[in-house]
Amino acid sequence: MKNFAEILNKSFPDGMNPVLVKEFRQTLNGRTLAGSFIGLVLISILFCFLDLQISPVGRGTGFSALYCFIYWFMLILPAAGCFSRWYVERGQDCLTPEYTTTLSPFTILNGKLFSVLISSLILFLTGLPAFLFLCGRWDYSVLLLFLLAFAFFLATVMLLCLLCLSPERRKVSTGSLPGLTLLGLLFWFVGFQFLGFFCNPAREGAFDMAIQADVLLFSFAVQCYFWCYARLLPEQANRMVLPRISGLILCLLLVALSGVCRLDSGLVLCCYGTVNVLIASFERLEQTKRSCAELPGNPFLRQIVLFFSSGACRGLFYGIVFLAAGILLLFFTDASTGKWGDISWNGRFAACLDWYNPYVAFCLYLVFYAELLLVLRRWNPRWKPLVLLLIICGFLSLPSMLCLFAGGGEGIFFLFSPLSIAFGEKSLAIPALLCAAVLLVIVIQNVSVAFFRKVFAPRKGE
Amino acid sequence: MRIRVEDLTKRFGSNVALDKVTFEVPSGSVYGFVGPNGAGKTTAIRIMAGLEGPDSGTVLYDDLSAVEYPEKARRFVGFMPDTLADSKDIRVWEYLDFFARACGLAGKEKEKALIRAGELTNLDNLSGRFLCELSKGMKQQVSLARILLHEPSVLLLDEPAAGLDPRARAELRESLRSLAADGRTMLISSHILAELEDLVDGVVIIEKGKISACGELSEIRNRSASGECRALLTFSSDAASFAGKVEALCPGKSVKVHSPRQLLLILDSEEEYFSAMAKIFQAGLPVTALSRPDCGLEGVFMEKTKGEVQ
Repeated sequence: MKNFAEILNKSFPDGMNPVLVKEFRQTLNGRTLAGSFIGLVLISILFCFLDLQISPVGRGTGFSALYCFIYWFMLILPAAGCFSRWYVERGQDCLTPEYTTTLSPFTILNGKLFSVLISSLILFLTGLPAFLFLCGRWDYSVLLLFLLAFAFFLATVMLLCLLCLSPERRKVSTGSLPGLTLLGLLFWFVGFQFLGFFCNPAREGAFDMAIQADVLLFSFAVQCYFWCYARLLPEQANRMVLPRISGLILCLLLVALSGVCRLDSGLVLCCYGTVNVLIASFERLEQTKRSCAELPGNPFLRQIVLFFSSGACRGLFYGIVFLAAGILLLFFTDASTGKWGDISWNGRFAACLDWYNPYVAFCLYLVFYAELLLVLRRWNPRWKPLVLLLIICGFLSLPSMLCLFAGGGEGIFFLFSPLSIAFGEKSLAIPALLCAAVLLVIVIQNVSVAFFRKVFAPRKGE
Repeated sequence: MRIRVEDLTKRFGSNVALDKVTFEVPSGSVYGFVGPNGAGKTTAIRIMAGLEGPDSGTVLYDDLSAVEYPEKARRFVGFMPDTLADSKDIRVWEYLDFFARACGLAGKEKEKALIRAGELTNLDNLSGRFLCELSKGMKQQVSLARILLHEPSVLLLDEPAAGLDPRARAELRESLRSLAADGRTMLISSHILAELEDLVDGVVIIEKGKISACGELSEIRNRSASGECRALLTFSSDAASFAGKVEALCPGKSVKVHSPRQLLLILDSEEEYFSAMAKIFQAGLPVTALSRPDCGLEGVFMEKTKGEVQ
């Protein structure tokens, strides 16, 4: 293994991404990848040997499921090794030298990400033949599901990687907590998927679930990637334009994907992503000399740049809460069957959606008003939460009262009120909400700096 | 390249880490950046290195603002943090090779830069060793080599000698001295004032986020001179037994026992100092060492700071 490492060490050309070279060298110098590689090969041989010894009748589904678990466990080890290394480095403020080089944020992020993904891919390919052999045949459905699971794995790795690298926080603990939680989720998801898949001969619903889980995680990971990228950039007028526009494009793609795959939750994802982008845009752009100089002179373009120019820290936080709660609700609400063997995923989704759609709409309202509260507090920090609560109650109740006076569940006021959720007008409430959010963002970005900062100005006589 | 810091302010919540900090380091000079713990030195240096943004104010390298354009400033600024990464599974040469690549060096140019940095910091014997196996002093040498790879014209060093043994400190001092001779502008944050004294041209003293003094060493000494003159006498045996004799030789002057073998003599002027010393030596008192604490950086530091933290 040492010789192999030395050969590879010497064969990195100068043009390669320096971070990728460094991370890959560290991976090769470490023991995790080699250990996982050898472990995977040995386990594959052992299982294949056992499989040949045991007759197909005596071979239970638990046998394959066990192999799956071990396989995924070995696969995740190198990634976990990298996260652990970054965890220590972040804790000791050791990533600082990397951030003081002239490397672009893209180079840093891509280097870190690809080093993990490449080592995972090597291991994945190592175990794939044995896996397919153990499944009995080169079944298209088995291969497809397996690839989907790998895609899910990659998305999770990306997400964890980005959470570990986030320059937003100097301490590790806060960033690593969601990372470790998601790591647990990965085991849970993969085990759950494969157990359900092998125990269910018809394999009904397994693909739907796998696709949705992948889409969900990928959308989150991509957003997280752009967020990290933007936070590594200096304060400038167009800092957030790329992440935000990419986020919106991603949302649109999700809509298209949900249409193709007939996934109801695609709309939910789309709404989540769009609102997340909007929330992120609520934070004002710091109007430094540089950012002011870089803002376009054209008023229309200026509005667009201002709209997309903010930080995304809060948006991400809400996104995490939103997603975690949504996923938990989706999978734990319906417990009508309780057996893994005969789960009807479609039935479960139908039952969940009755809960999920109002829940999503309710979350949108909560997020919108929570953000409004933050903005108002920023506007005037002396306002106490009670005052703000009253303002928000006013916001919530006024449109409801107006629409009741106007004759029930119709009219423009209805769209902005929580009543629209109660009466099931989700499809109209969400776009209306988004329009309101857009207007709010435009207002926030255009109020003068002095207006926001007047509370910090010294009083007369001080 | 001249460093100019203008009205730098940074808050962490309600705590004001830097309060309108303003100072200047002339081109090609070496300045010490000193202050008690928690004074704001590291925060200021991190902002100067473009790692953090200030709430207000700016840092100018000649005319380029490191606050507005940190990515441009990084090209000619080398920042050495107080500790080097305890990076696992990476050898010294791999670590330096990474930073050389990160600085855009390639081929022979990269090799030359690595050799040059290695020679300046005496790293030849360490290149094959893993970073996590190195001592603190060796790590500081590696860290110094790292920031020299792209030949920056400005060096910002945050506590470079912290935690080093006397030998490692001496080696680091030699490395810094040779760098200073190259005409680089350097700002060295340190607690070890004796180390800085014979290395720096000037000093920036910061306390509670505010600048207490800034300028050439001699200039600050003259500014702060109160006329009082202090002499620290070290004896070969118990100092207290000689206190009476010293008082008799310098009537009316304050004589205090500073340590078991040291007496502190406080005089009114330089003239008094010379005559008192002549008397003490003529009397044949067993003085083994003589120093002037008020003339050194430590004296200036003690006078300018109160030891308060935020």
